[in-house]
Order: sequence, then structure tokens, then C-alpha cells
Amino acid sequence: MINIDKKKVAVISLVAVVLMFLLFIFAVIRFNNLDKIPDNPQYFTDQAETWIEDDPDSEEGVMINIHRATNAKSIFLDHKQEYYFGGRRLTFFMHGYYQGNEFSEIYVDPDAFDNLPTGISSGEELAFLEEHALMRNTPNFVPDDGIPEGFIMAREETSDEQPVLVFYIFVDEDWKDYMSYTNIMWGEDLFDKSKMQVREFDFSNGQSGIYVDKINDADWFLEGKRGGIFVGEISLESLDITSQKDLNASFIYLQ
Amino acid sequence: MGTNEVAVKVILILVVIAVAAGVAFKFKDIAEPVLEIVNTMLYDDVLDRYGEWQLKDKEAINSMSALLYSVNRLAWLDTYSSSGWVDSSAEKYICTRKQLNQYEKDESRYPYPCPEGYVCNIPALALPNMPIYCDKVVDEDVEGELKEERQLSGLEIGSFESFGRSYGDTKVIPTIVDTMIIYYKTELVTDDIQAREDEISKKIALNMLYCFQQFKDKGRNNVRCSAGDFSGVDKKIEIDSEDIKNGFKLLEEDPLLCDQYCQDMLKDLTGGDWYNFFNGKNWEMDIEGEIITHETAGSKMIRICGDDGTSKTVDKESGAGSWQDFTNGVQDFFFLDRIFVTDDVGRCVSPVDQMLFTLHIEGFNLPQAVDVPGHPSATDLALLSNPYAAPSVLMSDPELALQVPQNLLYSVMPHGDPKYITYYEKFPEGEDSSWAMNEYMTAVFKIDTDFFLAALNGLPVVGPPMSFYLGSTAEGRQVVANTLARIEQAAKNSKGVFDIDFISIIGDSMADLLGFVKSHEGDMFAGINIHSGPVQNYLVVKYAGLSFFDKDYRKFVQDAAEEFSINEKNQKTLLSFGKAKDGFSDVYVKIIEQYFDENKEIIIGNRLSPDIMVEMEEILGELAEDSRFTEALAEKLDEEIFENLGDILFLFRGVSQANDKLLSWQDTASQDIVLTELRDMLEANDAYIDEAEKDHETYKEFEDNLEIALPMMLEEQEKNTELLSNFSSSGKDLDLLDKMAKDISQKLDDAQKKIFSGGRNLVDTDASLEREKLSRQVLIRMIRDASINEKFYFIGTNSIGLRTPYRGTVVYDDKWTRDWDWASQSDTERKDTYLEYFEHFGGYTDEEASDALANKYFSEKYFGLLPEVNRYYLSIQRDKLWRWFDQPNLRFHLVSPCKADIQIRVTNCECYGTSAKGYDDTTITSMFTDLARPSMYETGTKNPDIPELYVANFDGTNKMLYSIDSDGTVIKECPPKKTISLPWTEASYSPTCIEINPIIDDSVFPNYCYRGQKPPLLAGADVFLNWALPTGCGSMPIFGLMGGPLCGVFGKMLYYPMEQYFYSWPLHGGDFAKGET
Repeated sequence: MINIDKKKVAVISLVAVVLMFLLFIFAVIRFNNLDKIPDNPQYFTDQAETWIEDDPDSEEGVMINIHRATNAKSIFLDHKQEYYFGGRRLTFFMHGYYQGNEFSEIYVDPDAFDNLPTGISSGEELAFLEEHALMRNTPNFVPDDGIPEGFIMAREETSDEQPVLVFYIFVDEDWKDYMSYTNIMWGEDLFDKSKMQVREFDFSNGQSGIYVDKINDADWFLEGKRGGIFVGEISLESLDITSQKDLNASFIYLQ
Repeated sequence: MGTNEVAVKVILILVVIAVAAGVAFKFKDIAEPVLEIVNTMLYDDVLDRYGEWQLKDKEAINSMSALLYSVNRLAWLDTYSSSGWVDSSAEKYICTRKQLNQYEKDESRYPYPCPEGYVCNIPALALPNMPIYCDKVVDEDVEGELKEERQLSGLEIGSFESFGRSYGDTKVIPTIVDTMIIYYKTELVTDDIQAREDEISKKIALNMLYCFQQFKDKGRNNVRCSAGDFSGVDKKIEIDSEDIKNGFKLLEEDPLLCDQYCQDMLKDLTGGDWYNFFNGKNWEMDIEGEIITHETAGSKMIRICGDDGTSKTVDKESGAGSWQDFTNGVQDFFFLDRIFVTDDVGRCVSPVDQMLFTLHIEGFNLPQAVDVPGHPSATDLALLSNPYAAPSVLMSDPELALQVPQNLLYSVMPHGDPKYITYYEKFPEGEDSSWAMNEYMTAVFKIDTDFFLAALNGLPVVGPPMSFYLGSTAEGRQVVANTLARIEQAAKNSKGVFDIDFISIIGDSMADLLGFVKSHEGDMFAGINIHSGPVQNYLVVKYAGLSFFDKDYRKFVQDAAEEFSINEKNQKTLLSFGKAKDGFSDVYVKIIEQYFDENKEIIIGNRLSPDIMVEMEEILGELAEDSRFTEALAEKLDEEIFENLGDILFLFRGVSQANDKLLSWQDTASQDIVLTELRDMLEANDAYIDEAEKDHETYKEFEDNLEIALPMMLEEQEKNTELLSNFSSSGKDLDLLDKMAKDISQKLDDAQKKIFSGGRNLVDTDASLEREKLSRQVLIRMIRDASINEKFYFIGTNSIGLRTPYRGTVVYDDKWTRDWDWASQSDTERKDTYLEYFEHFGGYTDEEASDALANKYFSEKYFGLLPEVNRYYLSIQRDKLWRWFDQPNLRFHLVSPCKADIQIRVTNCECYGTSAKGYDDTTITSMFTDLARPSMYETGTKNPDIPELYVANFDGTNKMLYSIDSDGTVIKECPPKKTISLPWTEASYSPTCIEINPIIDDSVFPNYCYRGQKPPLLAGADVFLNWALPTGCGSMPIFGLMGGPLCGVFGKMLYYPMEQYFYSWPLHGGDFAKGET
């Protein structure tokens, strides 16, 4: 016959019950607390306005947070945006024209070179020339510095449960003031007018002095066609101009 | 004298004579010495080129190895990394990202590496962009499982660490492009170090919190959030994990920065309160040394990222494990949500890294010693570079005026090109103008001076104002005196152009040889005329940098002789060959010709043909029937030609060019006479020189070197002609021109007699010593020209070449791959050598080699880089500092001296142009290179000129333009945008590229690497001095009709030294650092 020490059993049982109780309490507290922890913070948002952030490197500047807008799938480097799109690398090149003069990121007043102070360092020289910028094609804006600034950004979205490519166009307050008109021209073949479309830029959306518009039907990029998206003083008639000296318009474009 | 020795010498004589005669048969004139060299280029052993280069310049070869490895490795990863990079959200798995098109559906050409048990399922009609699946091998009666069983191809990618390599002091470091860079700066103005540390710690904590948000928002998938550049942080500050912990606390206590939501997130990130202990701490600091300082910037960037923890499953030592593991791990809810502050780039790997992955070469170096004189201070240069300030600076500071033109002088290179040039497929035309222009500048500088001084003294109408400006004032005289002083230096430097040392070496060698011959007079050398052209010119070429051809001439013959067991009978036969030298030479020429088919392509592995054997028998008798002899001879020739293939091609082309040059020699000689005439004019009328005897002597010294400089001057005939036409079109002094014309005519005759007495025979045995001297100069010049032009020849599709003057371009696989019959020889002993090649240049491990390489790389023949690299165009990213004057990407090339770190990554390039006919001359360097382009054709279409030729899109997707040379070699073309075109007037395309971005080490001076951006301030000077000044003078009556040209000359004299300083080899783009991406 087995001798059972009832006292020991009682103690062990009590300890077990206490431990289970404590465990239960901890679990309740823990899971109750888990509910309080925001589990889905929605950092990567779909609203264009939420991508416009203060520029930490500029007191008055704002910036388009491409990282945030593209779900950390895109980079902007050397005036081109690269996109990791469904396992493929897509690359979009940015350029611009200021009154018929071509530039990549910044167009500087040519007269500034004549007034360049002597005896300054290359950094100071750079800053001096930056001050004399006349137009910028960049995700970093200063909306009211008198310099028209614009930017075109590719983004992956979903349509009918299929990934599609769309483009957001940002221009600042100075752009609106400076340009005689602002059109968006886009299409898959710059050498065939019938494949290009034009409409006016919609200035009704935006914030912090930045206006946003969007082009949805631009999937030709996925087929490897160069085409392009143009924003600014541009129209189908512009395509009839064959010489740069006859072009006096200002616009930015992406190919 | 032993029997063998006699035999060896006899053969030696025979070969020399045979080659001389044989070449005369083929190329005439100066071809003799060149081919003579070809026939003496023998090595003791079968030395590979790689080894040879290694012996000569270890830094260069290490750097090239690092570069080749990086390019190969990136291409390999980008091509096959779908197994590792695959997006976990993607449903489609493909066995490779290499795309097929309907013209390339032969599976054997693309042995895709599917895992064991799977095969690559290439559809019958493979269209571009169609994914190729790995299907499981199943019995035919077990169908219906294919879709479920499809998998990724199985090549293991390895960890980040496994991609690193070291080649001597040059290191390859795997890294990524940082997309969000946070610049941390201490902004608080206080002496309290703790307060400043708190400031930085708090900012780090905030960015970690942002990262935590991102990590969670991505469903706890790995994400790279930001990279920190701490170079703006106070040097005394050191941040460790305790500081970051404190940063969290400070952040939590800051209501402006952290609301309730933020505080909840912080609790989750840091482990929170006691009741939240199950959650644990969700961040970690993983930095070597455990502290962050101001030095953590650039390549030492500290990154903040979210990692699900599975990356630790990869064995860092062996690199085992596929990158796909990184993204497919199981989340540990409680303990593995980790936000890292780390310097380990292997953390947080995600599919997007395919786009961000970069190899960083640290310490790339193509060394070249350049004797750099002292240069002015930055302030002086800034003043000097200002078009308004420069003239006054020059006048007020003679020392400065002396220093600037020196930069023109040290940029004159003795050998025509810098010591090292490496390039992709072909050196980009026009990019040599930084140093080719220097010769032009030297000539123009001299010619301008002639015109300038002649105008001052010989043209009284124009003279007074200019004399007043420069001749009649002390300051002006000082400027001219300084200029002439520089000419003195130019005269000395001009000797370097032709490297007088060579001449003395030649002289010494000739003396040695003469002494040797004299001692053997009456012996077997009696038949050789030491004064003969071939011998002399052989020495010229040999010592002009081609000494590598002269490794061991005797050993070649000796080996051949020993291998056929020479006996007395054969000795006699050999002696009899001397009498039959002409016949032997014919045979020899035919042997050489056997290595070239009608298209001048080299046929390696050839042996003596039956026809040649018949001819040899007629001459050699029984000896020719001795297979041991013929085999030995053939094998030696085979090795000889194979080992020196590039150099042979170079010399053959050089011979051809030299002959062309000779044909136009008499025409071009006239320009020298013009210079002489101008000099005479100057001496006869120059009152200024009478007053400045010292300058006159200096000038005379330069003139004395004109004969040496003659070939150089002659090459500038177009420029000279242009100047002369400007001069004559002014119509200023017809009598003077008449007089010049008569004198020139006479002097032309004299010069022709002097240079070419007896015709264009540069190897005339009766040549006077003076003419011999000139002949040698001319020959050196021709070889030098051939060497300069060599870089413009196509070296093959998908090839990287490295060249130095006077040698064929080394293409880095020609030894180990050109004659490799992979299918039949894969099991031979050469396999190890071949695998060694791949391991070295491709960076494969032995394990990889045994699996992937054995299957893949032994199945097809190719030239150049690994076949995977052929998908890409290799471009160089140049200066990006002045973003409004950015230089477009160009075909990859680097030029010594070049010390830089290099970033290499896969991207797309932007190219412009359409299929078009253009000029055929591959060496053309046009002033209008922007407009003039070579014939180019579009990939993916039939070639319009060669209908049977189809070149597929290199990357399988994007079209591209290509060029083709007369040998049928195809190279890729990616021209930049024309400056005058509009987006809708010039077609563009965007092929896949490997972009090579040198970040020039600005602590090294001088440092060139590539032609830098012309500084904006120099653009202003250009406009003022070269355009505004002559235009202004031309419009002012006081200067007369010659005002424009004279002010133009004056402007050039001021501008060129400035440009030299800022823009030309060996300096890079004004000595400004290049923008880093």
C-alpha cells in the first residue's frame, strides 16, 4: 500500500494552484496589454498628402518621402528613380527644360557664373550657384522661395487585384505662379502624337504649398516602351518643334 | 666553339635574315624591323599574361582583379539571384531572370541551374519576358503536379560576407545603396558633452521608432529604414547602447515629439513595463566596437533596420544558405522582432536588396608617377581663373605666371598615352583629348607665339597696340619673358616626348653589337651588315618599350634544335640554309601567314600545312622530313604567336598605319617648313629679341629641338593649316606671303632631300648618321602613333582591356579561353587552370566551381568577361558635383594615375540615338563628336548591311545600339544625349547596365581617372578669352584687320594654361572631389 502524505499533496497542490493563478494573471495582463500596443501602425500609406513631410535639412523645405510612398521599394538616385516592381527593376529618368534650356536636377542662372566671387572654396561656390537656381526637378521643395519646383514619382498600386504602375506629380506654389500654364502630357510614343494625351494639371489637391496630381494609365513602361510623362508648359503642338532654339517652354519630364 | 652553339647561331642568323627578307616581301620598308620583333618575342616558359603583369605592377593588377571580380560577381548575382531575391509576396517563381527570345531557345546555350530533380522548362516558343520555370522531373504518368512542384532554381547565393574579397591592398566590400540617409549633427551650443550625446541619442531613438513602425507595417518582413551619417557629430561624442537606452527615455519624456501612440510603440520596442516582460526588448545594437562616433560615415555607415531574425540561419563562414531564407523565416512573436542599429550590411536582407546591392572596391589604384611642379594656392587659382582678374594677376605676380604654364608642360607624356588605360570593348573616342590635346597645345602654344611675335614685329599696322600692351611696358615684357621662359622648359620637356634616353640606349646597344660583330668578323656573322636598317630599327623598336619581345630568342631556337636531336648532318644542312635564305624566308612568311586567314583573323592551334611542308622539303631536304624538327618548330611558333597575340596584332596594325603615314609624309612635311619660315622671319625682324638676349637664347634652344619635335609638329598639319588660312585670308601682306611661298618651296625641297634622300627608304644602308637619327625618330613616332591608336580598336564584345604604351591591349581572358575547346578538353589537366581563372576573376568558390561551372562554363566558348556579363553595358559614372553641368555616363574606362574607391551596381542606363550610318574610321576624333557618330545598328533586328547578322537584345529585353568593326567584332553603344536635341527628336533607350562609379581620392595629387567636369568658372573664361576677346578686338578699328586673330591668339595663350591646370591629364576636373552617390 502506498503511503500518501496528504500534507505534502496539499502543499504541492496549493503551490500549483498559486502558480497557475499567477500565470493566468500574467497572461491576462500580457494579452490585455498587447491590445494596447498598436500592431498595425500604417507607416506606408496610400494618401499622397501623407508623403509630404518636413525636410530635416531645410528650415522652410518639405520633401516627398519616396521611401514611405513606395513601401520601401524605390530609391531616387542621380536624377533617376529605381523601382523594385514584382521582382523587376524599373528605372525612370528625370529631366527638365527651363525656357528651352535643358537640365537634370537644377537649372542655374548663367549670369551667376559671371558674378561668381573670387577666392571662395568649392563648397561656397556650390552654395552660391545653388542660390541662383531658376528651376528644380527634385523631391525636395521649398514652396515659396520663388523657384518653380516639380517632381514626378512612380508608384506601384493595385487595380483589379493586379499590380499597376501609376505616377504622382508634385509641383509647388512657385510653379503655379511661374508657369503660364501647366499641362500634363503623357503617352507611350513621343514620335506618334496619336499615342500621346494631354490634360491640364489639377491644382485642387495637395498640402504645405505642394500640389499633387496623378496619372493612372501608364502601363506602357512595363512593356519596355520609353514614352514619357511631361509636366509644365507643354502640349501636343510642342512636339512639332524640332530645334531647341525654337523651344522657350519650361517643363519637367520622366522617361 | 661547340657544335650546338654553332648550330644555334646559324639558326639565329637564318631566322634574322629570313624575317628581314620575308617581311620585305610582305610589307616592304619599315615592316621589316617590326616583324623582326614579332619573331623574337619568345619567353623562357609559357608565361601567362596575368602573371607577367603581376610581376610588373602589383597594384594595377590587384586593382584590375578586384574590378573584374566585382563586375563578374554582380552580373552573376543579378542573373541568378531570383532564387535568393524572390519577393515573398510573389506567386510566380522563375528559374532565372535571364530572358530568352525566339532566336535563342537552344537550351544548351543556357544551362539553367535548377535544383536536383528539376529541369528548366523552356517552352517551344520562348518569347521575351516569358518566365522560365523549373519543373520537377516526374514520371510521364504522374502529371498534374507540375504547377505545385515548380520551384526556384537552386544556386546558393551565399551571405553578404561571402562576396568580399581581398587582392593585396585592394578590397572588395559588399554593401548596399542607402536610400534614406539621416545626417546626424550636434546642434546644441554647449560644452556639456552629455547634453550633446543626449541630443544625438534621442534622434537615433526616434529613427529606431520610425523603423519599428515600418517593420510592423510590412508585416514584420525585413526592411532597411535609414542610414546614419555621423560625420557632423562632435568628435568627442561616443554613443553606446546605454546612450540609446537613455535616448528612448528622453524621447518618451518629450511630449512634443512623443504622443501616447508613440509611447505605446516605445514600450513595445524597448520591452516596456514589468508586466510586459514577455514582450522582451525588441532592439539591438550590433556595431563593431559597440560605439558610434563621428567617423561612422561613408562606407562605414550605421544603418537602422528591421530584421525578423532568420538571417542568422546563414553560415557566415561558409556562406552556405540561400538568400531566400532571409525572407521566409518564421516570426517569433515574442523575441525576434528586432530593430537593429548595425554596421553589418548582412542584417535585414530583403528582396529589394536586389536593386540596392553594391560592391565597393576600396583602394583601386592604377599608379603612375608624375613629376608635378608646385602649383599656386587655391586663392591664386581662383583669381587666375577669373577672366577679369587673370590678366592683372599674371602681370602683378610673375611667379604665379610662371607656375601656371608649368601645368601644360608636365602633362606632355613621353609615350603618347598614360601608363595604364583600362576600358570596356573600346576606348571612348574623344576622351583622350585631355592628354592628346597637350601635344596640340604645345604646338599651338609655339605657333601662337610665332604668330604673336611675328605680328608684333613684322606687321607694323598691328604691332603698335600690341607692343604697347605687351612689349612697351615693363609688365607686358614680364609676361612675354615669362612665357618665353616656359618655352625653355617646353624645349627641355619636348625631349621627353621622344625620350632621348632611348636613343642613348640604342647607341650603347649598337656599340655592343658592333663590338660583338667585330670580334666575330669573318665568322658566321660576317654576312650581317650592322649598319643595315633592320638591325638598327629592331633596336629602336626594342628599346622603345618593346623589350618584352626579346625575352630569350636563343632559347627558342635552342629548344627546337634540341628537340630534333641535332647531328652533324643536320648542322651541314642548316649551314646550307644560309645560302638558301631567300627560300627559307618564303617558307617562314607562309608559316606566319598560316596564322592569319583571309580576314586577318588569328587561327590558333594551327600546324604546318602540307603545302608548307612541300616547300620546306625543297629547301631543307631531309631535315624537313624529320617530324621532330617540324613539330618542334611549329609548336614553338604556335606558342610564340599565341602568347603574344595582342602584341602581334598591335604591331601589324602599327605597320599598316606607318605605311599610310609614309605615303602622306611629303605633304605633311610642308608644315615644318612653314614653322621654319616663321622662325626666320622672327629672327630677321625681331627687335624685341635683340633687346632680350636671354629670351632669344631660350627660344633658340627650343628651335634647336625642332628637328626632334618634327614628327610631332607634322601631325598638327590640320591645325597649322587652319592657322595659316586665317593668316592668309586676312589678306594683309601679299608680298610677305609671296616671299614665304617661294622660300617654303625651296625649303620643302631641301627637307625632302634631307629626310627622304633616295626615296622613302628609312633603312637605307648608306644613310648618313644624321638621317639615321631622323629615321629612328620617325620610326619611334610611328610606333608611338600606332600605340596611341591601338586603344580605339574593338577588343571584343564583353571585354575589359588594360593597355600600356607600345603593347597590345591585354584582354583578361585571352590566354585561358581563346583556344579552349571546352567540350573536348574539360577533363584534361587544363581544367584546373581554367577553374582557377574563374575562381580568380569570377570569385567562385571551389564548391561552386565544381557544380555550376563544370556544367555551365565548359559548354560554350566566349571571349571577355563571364558570359553573364554580356547582358549588361558597362558604364562609368562621371562627375555629378555640379548638378546642372553633370557629365553623362560613358563607356567604362579609367586612366592612370587613378586612385579611387569604386562603387559598382546594376542599374539601367539612358542612351540616345537610332540605327544610322556614320563614319567608318574607328580612330577619328572629331571636334564635332557630338554630331558625328559611327555606324550603329539596333539589336533585335537584322543588320541592314550584313543581312545574315542578327544581334539579339543583350539583356533579353531592352533594345540597344551596337557597332561592328571590319573583323566582325560587335560592341555595345550607349551614346549620351545630343546637346541640341529635344526629347521628341532623339530616340532613347534604356539597357541594363553595370554602373562603375569611381569616387576619386582627393588626397592624392595628381589624380586623373577620367576627364573631369569643366568647372563653371572656366566656362566663363572660355567664353571671354576665346570668343568675346577676339570678337571685341575684331570689331575695334584701332586693331585693324588682324585684331581678331591676334586677340584670339592672346586669349588662347591665357586660356590654355588655365584649362591645362583645371582640366587635363593628370589632373581631374579642377581638383575638385567627385560627388558620391
